[in-house]
Amino acid sequence: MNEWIAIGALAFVGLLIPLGMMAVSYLLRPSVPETSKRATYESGEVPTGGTRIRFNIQYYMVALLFVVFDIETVLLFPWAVIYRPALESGQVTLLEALGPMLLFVAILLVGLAWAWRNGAVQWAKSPHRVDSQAEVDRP
Amino acid sequence: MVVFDLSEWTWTAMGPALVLALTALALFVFDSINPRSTNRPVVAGIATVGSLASLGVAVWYVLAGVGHPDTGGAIDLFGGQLVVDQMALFFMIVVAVVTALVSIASYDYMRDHAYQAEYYSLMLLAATGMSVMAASNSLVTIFIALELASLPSYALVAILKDNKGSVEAGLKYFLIGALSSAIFVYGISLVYGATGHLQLEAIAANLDGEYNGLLGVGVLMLIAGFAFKTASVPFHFWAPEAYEGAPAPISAFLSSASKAAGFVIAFRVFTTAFPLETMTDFGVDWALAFIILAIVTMTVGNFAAATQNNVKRMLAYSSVGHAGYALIGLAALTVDGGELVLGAAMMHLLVYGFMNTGAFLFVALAEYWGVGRTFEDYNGLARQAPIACVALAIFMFSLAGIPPFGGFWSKYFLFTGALEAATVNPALLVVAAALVVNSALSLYYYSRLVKAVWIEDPVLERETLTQPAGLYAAIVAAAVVTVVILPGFGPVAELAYDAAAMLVG
Repeated sequence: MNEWIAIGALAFVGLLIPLGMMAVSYLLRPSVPETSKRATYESGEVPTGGTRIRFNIQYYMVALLFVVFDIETVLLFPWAVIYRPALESGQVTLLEALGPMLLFVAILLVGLAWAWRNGAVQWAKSPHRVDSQAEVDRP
Repeated sequence: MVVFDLSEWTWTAMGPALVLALTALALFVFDSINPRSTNRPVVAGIATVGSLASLGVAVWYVLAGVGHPDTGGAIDLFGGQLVVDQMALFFMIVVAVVTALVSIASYDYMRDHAYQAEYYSLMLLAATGMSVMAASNSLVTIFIALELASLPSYALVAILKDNKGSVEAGLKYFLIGALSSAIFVYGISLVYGATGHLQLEAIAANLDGEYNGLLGVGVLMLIAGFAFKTASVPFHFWAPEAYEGAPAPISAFLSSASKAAGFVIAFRVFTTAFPLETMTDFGVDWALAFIILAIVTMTVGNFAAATQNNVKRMLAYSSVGHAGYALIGLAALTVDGGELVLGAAMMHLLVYGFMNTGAFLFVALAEYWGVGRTFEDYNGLARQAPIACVALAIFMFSLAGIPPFGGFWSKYFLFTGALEAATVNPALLVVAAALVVNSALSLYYYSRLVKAVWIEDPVLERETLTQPAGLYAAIVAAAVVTVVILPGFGPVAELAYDAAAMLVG
């Protein structure tokens, strides 16, 4: 059971550090209430608008497509590593080594073609963005 | 028997699932060529032909003896990650049948819908997942197939985007599904921690009793995952919500095919990976857990169904009750056998695939007509639509287990199987008694619907009701099979018993 005591002690210290830091800074800091502290932080720029902006749903679509092809890459790597040794060993034919991966990529391409044709990669402009085009284009 | 050699191309043993996957891809290609096409005959036709082809391949494999002990036994694929035996083919048939019926019925039901190809391709992807679940032989493939079946189902439940009920049902189904997936995958990790393996036979070979606590908790979490997929207590409460809000053909699909697929992985995992004799020695008596779950599930399902006024909710709770009946298949497994009762549970799921799908498709027909949702709204429908109402009566009496129909025989075999197992484990007498009492109770609410349709007078005068060809065809086909499965029960029972004996023995 003594391993569990060690884990418990670790958890205790893990809780103690952030709580302690917050408590110490609460005791040490001067209190200067100021309204600009409540303003949205935009990297030192003067904030424009509120924080509750609606993002275009297409960020999500692009992220989704990215994940699909990210996974594809992850699965391609181990295959690429063993591809040449597998062929040189003579135990598999070219079709057996290449076929499954081509099929896999082809299935993903069908999906991409479908998403493309159904407008997933067509970037629609939101009305807000069209209105404030000039403002957004500033350097 | 046809001589059939798969030794060169073993992966073709997955044919039924591959056909479903290809059909889904064909639908994607069609929708890429004609985006947002509402050419219903073509998309519904592709889906129907694909699922019927999958059914044909599965039946052909069964007749040809694929996976039969006489032709070399179960076919292992990818180092035992997938296995095609008779049980896998049996459940591939169930999935393909339900998918075909639902695709035909959806032709009329989804008539004004904007996302035609999406609907059918999601359905076929889910069916692919369920078909692969039937053959999964490792906790990894089981989990992947389970997710492949679940994710499209969430979207399908919520596919009526402008219908509040549908979206709400989809959200509830998704949240509970995500929770139970998390529990399930955590259970897998605990089993892996206790045995060091994920492949089912390897787990069974490595049960050494060193980490019994870990294993016990893991098994309990796996049971929770199965309970969600099969809509059994304690994870049954999503079923009435999801089935009520979903389009009725999707309710039929989920409550028949998805439930059967959940049962097939439960059967395989518990008979292959956790043999009862070893697990009982370790103090993890999962049969006892299933005895309790079976009794509670059938009682909760039937009592809740008896109090419903909404027909779809009644059917949803009745489907919970039937999950309880099918759980007897696992509850009555004993150390020295149980293939009779396991085979009976498989048969019940096949018959259920027809009668329950048919019953939900009748609700789909009523929604198509727009007659309303409660029992009173169904009053006197038989005067305007006698054929569909004869079919409804067949489904209801078969679900209740009245002698001439398929549902009686599968329940009868479950009952005799449970009684036989009771000689070893007296607790099963309680299960058998619960089965009889609940069936008697279920007759009350099933016959209430039949009475409303045939005897009561309509509350309001209705206009003449149309006869949508697709919905009628699916309902009549399901009704015909529910009746003619009786003379055909010999071969079906033989197949189910063989499959169960292979698994248990």
